[in-house]
Amino acid sequence: MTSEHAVGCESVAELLPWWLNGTLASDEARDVQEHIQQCDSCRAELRQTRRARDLHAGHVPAEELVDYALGNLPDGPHFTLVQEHVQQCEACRQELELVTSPATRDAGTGGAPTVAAPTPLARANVHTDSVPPGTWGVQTWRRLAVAATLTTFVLGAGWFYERWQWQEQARTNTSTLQEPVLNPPVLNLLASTPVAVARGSQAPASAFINEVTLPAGSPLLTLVLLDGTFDEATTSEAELQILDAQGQLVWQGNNLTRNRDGHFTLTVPAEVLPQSAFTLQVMTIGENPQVLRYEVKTLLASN
Amino acid sequence: MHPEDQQLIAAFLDGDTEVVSRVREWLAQASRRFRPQLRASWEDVQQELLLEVTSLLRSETFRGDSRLRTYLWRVAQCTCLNLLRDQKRRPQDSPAETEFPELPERGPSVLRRIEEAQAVTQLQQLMSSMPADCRRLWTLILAGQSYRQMSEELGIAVGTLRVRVLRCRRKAQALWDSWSAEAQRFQQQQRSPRRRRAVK
Repeated sequence: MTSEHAVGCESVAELLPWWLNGTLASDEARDVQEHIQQCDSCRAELRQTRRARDLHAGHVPAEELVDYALGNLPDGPHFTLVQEHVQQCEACRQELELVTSPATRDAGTGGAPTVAAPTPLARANVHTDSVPPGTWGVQTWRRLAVAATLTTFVLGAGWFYERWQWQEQARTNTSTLQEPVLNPPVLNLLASTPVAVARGSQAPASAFINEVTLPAGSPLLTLVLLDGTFDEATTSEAELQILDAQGQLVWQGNNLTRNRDGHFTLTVPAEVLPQSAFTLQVMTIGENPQVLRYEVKTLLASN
Repeated sequence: MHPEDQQLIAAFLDGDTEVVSRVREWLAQASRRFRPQLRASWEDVQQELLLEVTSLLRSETFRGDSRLRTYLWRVAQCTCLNLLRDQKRRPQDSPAETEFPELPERGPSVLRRIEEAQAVTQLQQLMSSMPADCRRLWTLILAGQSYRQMSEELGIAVGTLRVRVLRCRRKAQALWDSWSAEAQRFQQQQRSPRRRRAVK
């Protein structure tokens, strides 16, 4: 395809900055549009041109912002650059919130989340950090308060469990000193059945299985449940079950709620997660209870 | 790469109706959060997503580091974010050249020069490495000037102007790639030996 458009590609590559700023003549713009719909190399040029535009405009490129939102940026200069910029740039903060927000009809509630200060174990976990006052409404603050309470309870339970484990090991003369996990590793999970079904009805066969690597060495993990949907009649409260590969219940959390971004999140002791495969079931509470499933296949990280 | 993903990609590029439909569904779901902002051109957005995914899969950009659906979810977020930025066009966000701090002209590496400079943000420091004439050209583009307007204002031929802007864009990409490579090397060097110790 590239050889057929050889001459066109050169002109298109030159015109892309003005195609993006909307100042090309209509016939030129149409030619560029039609060309990049068919030419892979010019689409790659378009990506680079957008990146150059964003950098010269003083913003982080979209790819880095999305990776930061997903927690995919490793600790280091990349993470620091994006985090530093997001803390100072209102526009990019709003875009970050958009990427991490649930799919709702009425978006754009205003306000801006802050991003957690970096720690050696932290990722861009914008879902569980508290934020300063902004332009949010009462509903958002209430959800924040409930999410913070739940997170505190879960972390406290995890701390007591870890402390008990440490005491047990000390008693048997084995020592496994572990650093307190203030910001557990984050696992982002996509829904296997993205549309919730009524509780009690047969869930469709799983269309997607998350394959995740469980980080070794951390007693706690934060699970972020993405892209699941419930209809408008559903309440905001839910309970969550973790089932092993045989369907046996291994963990249950009641009164689970959405965090300020709308995602269900929970922090669990890593040991409760089955080693090979498990299912997360989110079950709403209310007049029309529904179920959402996340299928997970786990791999242990090598040390 | 997961065998199921390999089969899906092959079927998608062959135009298998069912697979294409499934991929469209995934993309629609992943992009739903952007619908309020991109509502006016939503059909075009969906078409653009499909074209972008087709191009990326055809270019073998996806290496199987994650499952295909996770990769498509990320592509949808990036594409919609770029379309949103295109929509805004941001002519008001063009930075004043005087805001860019001056970096030492020479140094062991871009990353080291940034660390040594005193400036507001790392991003601004990074872009200070770009030649002043490139920053000037992009300032005018971001201000919404056409290439004919820029040609008249700068007193250079249209063809020359277009080639210069293209070279500047490639310099920006090379700068970003260079910084990214150095950042990765820096990060690898900073990994604590303690992390490699087995934890029982």
